[in-house]
Amino acid sequence: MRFKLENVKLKGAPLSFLREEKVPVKTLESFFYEYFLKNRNLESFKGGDSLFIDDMIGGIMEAQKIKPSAPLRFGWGLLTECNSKCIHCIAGDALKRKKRTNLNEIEYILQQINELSPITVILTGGEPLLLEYIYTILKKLKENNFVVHLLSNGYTLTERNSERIGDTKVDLVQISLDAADPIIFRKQRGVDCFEKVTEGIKYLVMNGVRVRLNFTATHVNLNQISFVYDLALKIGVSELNFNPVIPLGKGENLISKFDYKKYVYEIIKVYYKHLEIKPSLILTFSLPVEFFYLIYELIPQKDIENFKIEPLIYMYDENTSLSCNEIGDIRPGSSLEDKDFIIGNVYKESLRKIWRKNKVWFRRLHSTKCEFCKFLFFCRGGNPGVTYRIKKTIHAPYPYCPIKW
Amino acid sequence: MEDVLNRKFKILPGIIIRYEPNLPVDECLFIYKIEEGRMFSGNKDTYEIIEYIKKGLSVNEIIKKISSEREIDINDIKEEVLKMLNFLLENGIISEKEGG
Repeated sequence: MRFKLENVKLKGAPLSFLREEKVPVKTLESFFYEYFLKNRNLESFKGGDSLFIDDMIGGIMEAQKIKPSAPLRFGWGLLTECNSKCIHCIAGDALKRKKRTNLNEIEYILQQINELSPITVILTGGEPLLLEYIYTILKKLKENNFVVHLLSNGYTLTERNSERIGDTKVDLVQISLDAADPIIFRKQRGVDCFEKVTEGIKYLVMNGVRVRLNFTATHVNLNQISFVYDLALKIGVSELNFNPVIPLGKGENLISKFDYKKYVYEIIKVYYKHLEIKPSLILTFSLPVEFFYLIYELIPQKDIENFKIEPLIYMYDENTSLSCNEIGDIRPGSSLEDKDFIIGNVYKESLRKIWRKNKVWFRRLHSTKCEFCKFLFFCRGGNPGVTYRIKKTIHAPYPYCPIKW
Repeated sequence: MEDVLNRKFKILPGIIIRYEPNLPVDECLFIYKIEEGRMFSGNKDTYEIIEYIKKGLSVNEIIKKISSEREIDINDIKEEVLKMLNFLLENGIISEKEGG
């Protein structure tokens, strides 16, 4: 018999095989490359919502090609109602269901989450603040020591409910803010409440809530990226995240109008400024494959070998998280929205049982254009949900991939 | 000594405990302190102690339980269990239960 427990020295990203060598800073792109050397995957800069333990366990699981004993994250869509009319909404047909999780269902699912024991619970919708029981849910999850994130559009935030949110000790509230200008905000969100949202964010910050602003870039608001960065600094939020529009739901119609290269350069501009100012704000962003064109030439030849991977892709999100919608359907990860990926229903069998039968997910990209693509390390085949929607298989290249071999 | 043996503990808030039995390594227990960003790794035996703490067992009950399940003499494990509990206390992973 031997009890053992010891300190683990944290050395940045776990299982990182990338050397932390400095690249001479000659261009703005090289800043990114330098940043990349310290991160496991450039597609989404971690650091904001990612706890070290998530990355570490996820990294070990990926290296072993197995899945953890329980998901690291559990996404819970509480309702489909939404008070927004975003031009880029990915929800699609789900919004037509108009279903709210009721109190009995909430109590049952909370008990199921306790038994499942994920690390982080992410509450989404629709708009979760429209659910009257949201404060009870937040409180109960925190009482059971989960890391809890709430994703909202912020339209219903007031001085009073911001205080209530603060009292629950929620770990992070993400608010969508796609513009620093009321007119552009209305164009993108379909409602006229820019002032209300920014006021609400201020109330949250005043009540000690950790706030992340989330910006979805479309053709409408590309010029707003640097203004929203300035606004984030002014309000004093903790984190700011930029994403390009996802070609799902209404977003599918916007893709042809979206200038990815311009998006990359807007992000680079903001990142450059961020490095100059060095604020406490955590800046994160997702980058499209176009970005890798820009930096590829900067990668030293000796490092190129590090970026070669097998076209058998471990699907990190699907192997480390579960999502539950308002009718109890369970899917692996957060991007496989199609009904073909429902692996169970929480009202028919326990979450633990559903997790146990969830297979280890891989994308097989052999004999496709990805097989010998030098960018596969970075994009990992792109969003599998988008690929499935168009190709009816996840074992295919991302349909919007601009690379032609 | 009697006093120590009757003590009960609880896991402190902000502590994440994760046990991954499928890992092909001995150290499959991970304990993470969110605020400090400190990580500990441990083995299955330590996880057992954590589980008994969660169930509200006293020090004495933990020792007896491990002893009977593993068929080890109480005196052979008492010191080790106390040492581990002390480590967990000193590192802010557990605290004594009020009225425990």
